Amino acid sequence: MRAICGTEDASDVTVSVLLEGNGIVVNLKSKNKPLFGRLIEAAVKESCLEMNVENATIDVNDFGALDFVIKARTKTAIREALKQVNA
Amino acid sequence: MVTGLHTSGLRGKIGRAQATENILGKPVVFRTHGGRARAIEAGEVKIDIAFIGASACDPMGNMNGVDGKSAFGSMGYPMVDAMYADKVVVITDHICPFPLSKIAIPMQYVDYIVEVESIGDTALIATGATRVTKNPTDLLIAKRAAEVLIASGYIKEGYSFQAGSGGASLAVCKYLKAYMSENNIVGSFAAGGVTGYLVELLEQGYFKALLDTQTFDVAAVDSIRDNINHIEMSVSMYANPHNKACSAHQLDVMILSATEIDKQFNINSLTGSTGVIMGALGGAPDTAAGAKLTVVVAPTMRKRIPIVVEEVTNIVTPGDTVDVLVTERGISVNPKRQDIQVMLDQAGIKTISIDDHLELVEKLTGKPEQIQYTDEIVGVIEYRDGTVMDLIYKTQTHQARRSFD
Repeated sequence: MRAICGTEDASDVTVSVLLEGNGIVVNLKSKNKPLFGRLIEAAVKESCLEMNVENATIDVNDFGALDFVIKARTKTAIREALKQVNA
Repeated sequence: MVTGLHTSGLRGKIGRAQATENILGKPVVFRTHGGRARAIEAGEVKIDIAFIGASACDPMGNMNGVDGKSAFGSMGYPMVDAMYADKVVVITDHICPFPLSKIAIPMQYVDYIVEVESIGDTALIATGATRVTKNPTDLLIAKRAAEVLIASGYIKEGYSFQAGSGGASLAVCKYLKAYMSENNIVGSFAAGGVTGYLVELLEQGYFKALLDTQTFDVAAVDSIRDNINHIEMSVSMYANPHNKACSAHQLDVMILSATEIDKQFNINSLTGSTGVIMGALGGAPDTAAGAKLTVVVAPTMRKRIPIVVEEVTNIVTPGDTVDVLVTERGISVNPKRQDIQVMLDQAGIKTISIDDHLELVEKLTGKPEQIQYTDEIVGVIEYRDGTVMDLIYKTQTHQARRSFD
């Protein structure tokens, strides 16, 4: 089951989390990838660590979000995904 | 077939393709508005044929841009071309009897007239009057910039003013108006690309004249045709640094926007942070050099891309000619302008150093990765006097970037 959080507005990001797979896989789409790809990926992985998620496939469609937005969206998506798993 | 380009700027697909693939196989030469006029008049650039669109023309070739169904306003740019090209071809959709009453470019320069059905869709060139931004960040920046201008002492009887296009620039006037009317201040002239908003200021008596090289909307087209104080000027009269005089050098206050500004106050308005060509030089280097006070208004970031940076991707307007930066997060004065710093301190306006400004921004955006460039030159940025200001190199990482568009 997938859980999605965020919007496609400028400076926002959509994060889609699937709690499956081996380790954390981040698929990033962003115009800012050449400038901030590594930081965006790090923010997503950090959120996983903070939420104790070890295995997930995460699609990130970024529209110029700052790190705190990326982390908030990722954590909310993870929380929703966890709810679905536990339901 | 196009084999080379001399221009003020490049946008969209062409700018991207030149920056990432060098489609022309040689560098594009970028010039300021004043630099363009200077290069043509000095013979550095030879025009064999100039094709000039005119909204009205008489059978001998006298032309203007204010009469006819396709009226567009000032002919400031082609004025120089017509004088220096070997052959001049006018393209018009409105032939009037000789002599045309209002003449922008006179017949002695004209070789041929071509009549066409329509020279363009005016609805696409201009719709109504340009409105001032409603974006709250831009308005905040504009308000602070107006406070800086007032505190600096330059807003006084007879002062002159120009603002570039872009979010906050034009809105600065909105906040100056109240101060001007309270203190009975009337400016001598406002200049630049003229919009309906500047026309309102002229008509309401805030400025005595408008100097217009390029008319931006229908309201301004009507004004330049009907109002004797709305004056058409050539791009040479506007900004050619080698002229005996030019209007850019008569400016007290210039408001500029920026794609990037760095710790040395250098401005980039041509290339994006990823190395793609996506903007223009315009009249920024000309007016910054000429104005007594040059203020940059810009947000600190756009979609995470920082505007206040360590070092600009390319230098378009040198920091020596830039005095103050106003963003939504603070005001920084170029250390070379201690006089302005003192005025702002006395007025109780809080300022921060440009280094602190940068730190504030980087804390939020993070430090961007370095874009890799090849050693292939795809663009030459000329300063207004014809010296080389900077070079644009072909990017190396374009494959990755293009797949994410």
